[in-house]
Parts: sequence; structure tokens; C-alpha cells
Amino acid sequence: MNTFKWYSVLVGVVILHLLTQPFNVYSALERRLLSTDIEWSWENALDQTFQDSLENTLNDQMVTREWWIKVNTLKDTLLGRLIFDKVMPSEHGLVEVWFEDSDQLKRNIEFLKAFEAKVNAIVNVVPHSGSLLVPSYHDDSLLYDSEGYPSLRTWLMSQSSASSLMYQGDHHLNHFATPLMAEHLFNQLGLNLIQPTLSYCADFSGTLQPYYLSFKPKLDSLWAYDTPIESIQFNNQTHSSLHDLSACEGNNAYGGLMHGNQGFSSIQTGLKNNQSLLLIKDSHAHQLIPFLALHYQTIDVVDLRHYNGSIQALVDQGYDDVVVFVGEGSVRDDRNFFKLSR
Amino acid sequence: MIFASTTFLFLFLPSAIIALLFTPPRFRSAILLFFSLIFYAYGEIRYGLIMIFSIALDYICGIMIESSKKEMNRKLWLLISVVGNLGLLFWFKYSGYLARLINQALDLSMPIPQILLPLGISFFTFQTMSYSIDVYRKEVKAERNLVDFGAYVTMFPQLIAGPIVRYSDIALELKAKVNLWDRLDHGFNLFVLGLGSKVLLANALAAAIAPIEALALENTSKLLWMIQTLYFGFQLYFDFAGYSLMAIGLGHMFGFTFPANFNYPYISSSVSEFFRRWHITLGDWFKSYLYIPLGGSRVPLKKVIFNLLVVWFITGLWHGADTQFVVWGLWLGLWVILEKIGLSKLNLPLWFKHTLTLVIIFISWSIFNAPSLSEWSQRFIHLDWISAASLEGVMLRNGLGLLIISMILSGPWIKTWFERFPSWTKQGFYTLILLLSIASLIHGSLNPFLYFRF
Repeated sequence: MNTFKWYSVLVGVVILHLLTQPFNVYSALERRLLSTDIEWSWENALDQTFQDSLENTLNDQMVTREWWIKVNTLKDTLLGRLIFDKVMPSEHGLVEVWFEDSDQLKRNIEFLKAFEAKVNAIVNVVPHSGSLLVPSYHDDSLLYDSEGYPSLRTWLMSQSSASSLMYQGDHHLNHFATPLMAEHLFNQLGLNLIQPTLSYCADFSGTLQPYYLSFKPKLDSLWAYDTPIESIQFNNQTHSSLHDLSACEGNNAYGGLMHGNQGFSSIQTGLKNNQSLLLIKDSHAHQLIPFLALHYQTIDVVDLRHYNGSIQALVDQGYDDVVVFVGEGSVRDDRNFFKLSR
Repeated sequence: MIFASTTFLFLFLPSAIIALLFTPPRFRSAILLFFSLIFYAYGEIRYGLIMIFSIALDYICGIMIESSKKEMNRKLWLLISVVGNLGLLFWFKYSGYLARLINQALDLSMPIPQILLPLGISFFTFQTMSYSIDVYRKEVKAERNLVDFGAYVTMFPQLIAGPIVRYSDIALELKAKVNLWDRLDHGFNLFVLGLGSKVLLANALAAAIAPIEALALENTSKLLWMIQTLYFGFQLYFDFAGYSLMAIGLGHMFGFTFPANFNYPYISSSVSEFFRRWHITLGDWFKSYLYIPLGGSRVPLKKVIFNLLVVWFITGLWHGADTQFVVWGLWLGLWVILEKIGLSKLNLPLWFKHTLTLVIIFISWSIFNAPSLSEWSQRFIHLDWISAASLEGVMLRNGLGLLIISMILSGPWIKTWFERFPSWTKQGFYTLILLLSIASLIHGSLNPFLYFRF
């Protein structure tokens, strides 16, 4: 059979699959939500949103999608490719992120500094694996200069080697490094560090590994710090624990921490000391919150990527402390830090 | 829309094939025009009107040139066509550049027009202009059927990035309405080879050098940019040659024979030869409509040199509205002139001529690929040889296998060897390329088409 006939058969199968099978919502292999919406409108057609959504949905809903991905990964590996989607193996057996150097970093630092000055906030930027492992090739003077943000990198590196601070296939600090960064922050807040409980969650190949399917890191143990609380509320849901540890059984164990990234969560810890904290964070703070929950009665948590309300309106509620705790990766390229100014 | 996308492969192309196969041949041009307008509007819905204007302009001019009795009127209609096409090209492509130049030269601050470049405008304006000139020269008859003419101008296989097809190339085929069933297999095989060039080689080479481009300039080095240029030279070739081959393959499937656009340029032993093998239809266009009318080579040497400088200046400008493209064109023009006045007559060993040609070409790609001349000088003059973090090793290794394969495939050797294979082996190879390309499109995210910017 010639190539055109194979192609005709394949087109028929793909169309039949799209028309008859329900759309898949989640890819276990890539650990991400799949595109399911074709956003048709004239407006979307004009600004290419429709075209992009159609292409993404076709790709994500392709028949035997995981097989195609494995074929492609095998091909790339055979060709000797080292860097996939900015993720590459490092000399330490870890994966690291190849950052893009962009003006976004400068803009974000300006937003952080302005916010720090305006509300007397404490800002901590958690170093990324890329900075800990190969610090010299990025413009990180903005993040770690003597007048910039307190050098969590220097602090962490003085406590241990980089390779023991990171998960193997991840850019997050592990449960060993978490108390170190908590200690650093608590010194700034003038609080005493108390260790929360620590429980085993799952064997974990990291959040970056799905980008780099040919790299098989040695599995880490993901342990979750946890503190009993009264309630956590977000999106009209109320839960009685900080984490959703049932996620440890699934494909996205890390996503169970703090029930995933929520735009706004409000935690009532059950303490009766009237102490309140506004925490502006990304996922790097998820293991830190159990430490904070031992000191504050109320912790309101904002993730700028998913929050569209006014930060100033929150600050005006009069928290005892305001902390920004975000990963370096976000500060380098996230476009939501402008929300700190509104 | 781009060919290397699942939308094209699984929705648009099957629909177009079915429509063309199952409608009577007399409606084929109408079907082709309909699908071509959808193809164009899908990527640039706002600029569909420009396309319609371009069709109307040259359709009317062609008929008026042919039907005018007086030479003066024929010239006037030709002038309207040329001014109309060049005016479109100038407004959309060069007005911003000209305003910047005037601001710099006269220290003014006049507003710079922010105009989005319509897809493929450099290609379709040259194509329609050649039609009007050919009618004026009485080399072709004016097309009276508006649908046939519209199908010629908008024909989606080559609308966006060539090859530049002259009306005379396909005038007979527009009317002939051949049996398409017989042409599907061969045309599709050509399309698959082009798709593989684009997706498996060009996109992968682009991904290999993307980390260098993501770094701040001060964290890079001369050597890193040399590695980047090496990869880029092959990326550009497989990107553009791949697109041309896909266009030729689709054209074949739909009953047209488009001219070849590439013929293994990297085996050339002179710059002149390189550009007889690279983007052949553009070179032919400039030769027919600019170089020869200027007098070509049949004039005194000084005039030949002037003519070549004009052609290469405009070739550079055609590729981009910025000074580095002009410098790129003049750099190559300089070598073509040197070859014309004696360099090619020197009795140099073939390996030396070949190496010298590659060095000149890759220097030209370094200019071509730089965001500006000042950044080019930063990259290749002011930076250190080695980056502070010694990233050269990892960047050279990231895709080295791919680079070696690309180098081998840029010559004719594999093709010659492959042609000896039995048919079933070839079909298996094409099918494998198709499957790997689809896998890359489904999984991969980096899919730039370099010649879309022209």
C-alpha cells in the first residue's frame, strides 16, 4: 500500500475518533490538562484564538496520542537531543531549566520592589534548580545582588549541596530544603520555627520530567509537611486539611499539595491569637504553609496567576504580616506581577 | 494556515482533495480559488481584501494591456499594474523602514507606521506583476476567465512562500483539467518529503538552537553564535526547501507542475552557483524582470557591476525591510561581482572553492539572522570567544546527530542511492517520514516558518 493510501486511512481513523469518542481531559503521561474547547467566534477568528484552539484540540485529542508522543521522544533521543522545552539534565543527575533571559524579569523585580516598599512586605524569591546548579549563565544579579532580595540561594547553599536540596526531576526544593527556607523567612518575621508533622506522600519523578520523557530520574520520595487546621476555603469549597493527600495515589502527587494552585484561599488554623497573614505565592510556598499555620490564626493565600481581584483591597484589610514567596522561575517570566500594583 | 500543522493535514487537505476529485473538472478552478481564499483568510482574515484587490488589479490590467492598440496605453496599464503591486509591497513592507531611515537621517521623530505584514505579500505581488509584464511582452495571452486568474494568484500550495510561479508555467494546466487520480501518489510523496524536511529537520534544528537565542547577549559568546549560525544555515535550507517541496507536491496532486526551487545549494563551489541553486524562482524572476532589462551581462563591465549591485541590493531588500538585509544582499553581490571579474577563473582547488563559498554563505546567514546590524557586531566582534559558563560544548552536542544528518541530506548523495531501492521500500520510507512528522507536530511546540516573514 502506498503512502497516500496510508494517509487516507489515517485521516479516516482520526476523523472517526474525533466524531465518536469523548474528549480526553487529562494526560497522565504529560501530567497536564488537555485542550478540549474549540473557541469559535468571529472575534476569535480575527485574533487567531480560534485557530490556535482548533490546532491545540486536534493535537491533544489525537487518536493514540501517547503513542505518538513516545515515538517522537524516541526519535529525539536517538538524534541526541539534550534540551527539551528548556529542560535539560544537569551534571548532578537532576533536571534543570534553561531560563530565557528577558525584560520580564526586570519588570517583575520592579513590581516586587514597589510592593515591598508600599506595604512593608517581606519578599522571598526561591532559587530555581537552574540557579542553584549552574548559577553563572543567567542574569541573576537582579535577584540576588546585595541590595536585591535576601539571598535564599546563598543561605541554602551554605546549609547543603545543591543536589541534596532539589527533587531529582523538578525545580522545587525538597522536604529537606523546606525547613531551611522556612527558617530563613521566620528569621525575617521574628518567629520561632516549629516543625510541623511530616508524612510520606508518594514516589515522585518530578514536575519537569513530563517535558523530558527520555530522562528517567531516580525517583524521589515526596513527603508532605502538614498541620491540622480548622478550614481552608477556595472557590466555594471548604476543606478541613491543608493538602489533598488522596492525590498521592494518583499521577499528579505534587498537585495535591494545598489542593493545587488556587487564585484565593483563606485558611483558618484554629489558633486563637488574632494573628493574620497575607501570603502571595506560587507553588514553591505549598510546603511552607504548614510552618506558617502554626503561628497565624488566619492566612489568606493569593496566587497571582489565578487571581484577578485588587491586592490593595486585600492589604487594606489590615494583616499583621504580608509575605511574597515565589519561585525564581515565576519572577523570570510570569506576566502577572503587575497585579501587585492594583 | 501552515502545511506543517494537524489542522492542515487532517482537516483542510483532505477536504480540498475530496472536493477537487469529486467535482467536474470545469469547476476545478472555482474549487481551488475557494479553498485558497479560506487558506489565506485562516491565517490573515483581515487581509483577504488585499488579495482580492491584487487579483482585480492584474486581471483588469492584463486585459487592458492586451486589448489596447496604442503602445502608450499598453505602457500606461503596465505602469498601473507595476505601481499598484509595488505600492502594496512598499506600503505594507517598507513604509515603516523608510520612516525610520528618514527619522535617523534628518533627526526627526515622525511616527513610524505600525503595519502588520500580510502573509506572502512579497510572493504574490511578484507573481502578479510578472503576469502583467509577460502580457505586455506578448509572451502570454491575458486571462479572460476571472476564476481561472483568481485561482492562479491565490493558489494555496504556493501562495505563502513560493515557488514564484509565472502564469506561463501553469496557463495550459489551468485549462487542461488532467486526471487527478493519477497524480495523487507521486504528488503526496513529494509533499511528505517536504513535510519531513520542515518538521523533522528544520524544526528540530530550530529547537536545538533556541536555548542560545533565549540567553541574554552578555551570557553568550562568539563561538555560541557561530554554532547557532551553523545550525541556522541548515534550518533555513530545510525550512524553505521543505516548504517549496510541499508546494510542488500539492501542485502536482492538483494538476500543476511548479518549477523547482532548490537544487542542493550547499554543494556549490561559488556564490553565483549557490544562488542558481537556492530559491531558483526568485533568481529567475530578478534575472528576467530586472537584470536583463537593465542590460544584463551584454554591456561594458562597469555597467555589469552596476547592474549586479542593483539586483543584489533589491534582492536583500526583498528579503526584509531592514538595513541588515541590504548589507546581506550587498555582501553576496560583492562576491558575485568578484567571481564575475575573475575570481572564478583562478585555478583554485575545488575543495578550496567549495570551502570559501560555504564560509561566505554562512557569514551571510549570520547577518541575515541577526535582529540588527548592531547586534550582529555585538555577537561576532565584541563578545568573548567562550561564554562565562562554557556552554559551547553542551550547545554543540544538543542536536549534533541531527546536524550531521542535515549536512548529509543537504547533498544529492542519499537521493541517488535511494533511487536504486525497490518501490515498496521507498513507500515504506515515505510512510515512516509521514508518521514521524505527525508525531512531531502532535508533541512538538516549536514550528516556525522562516519564509513567512517575507
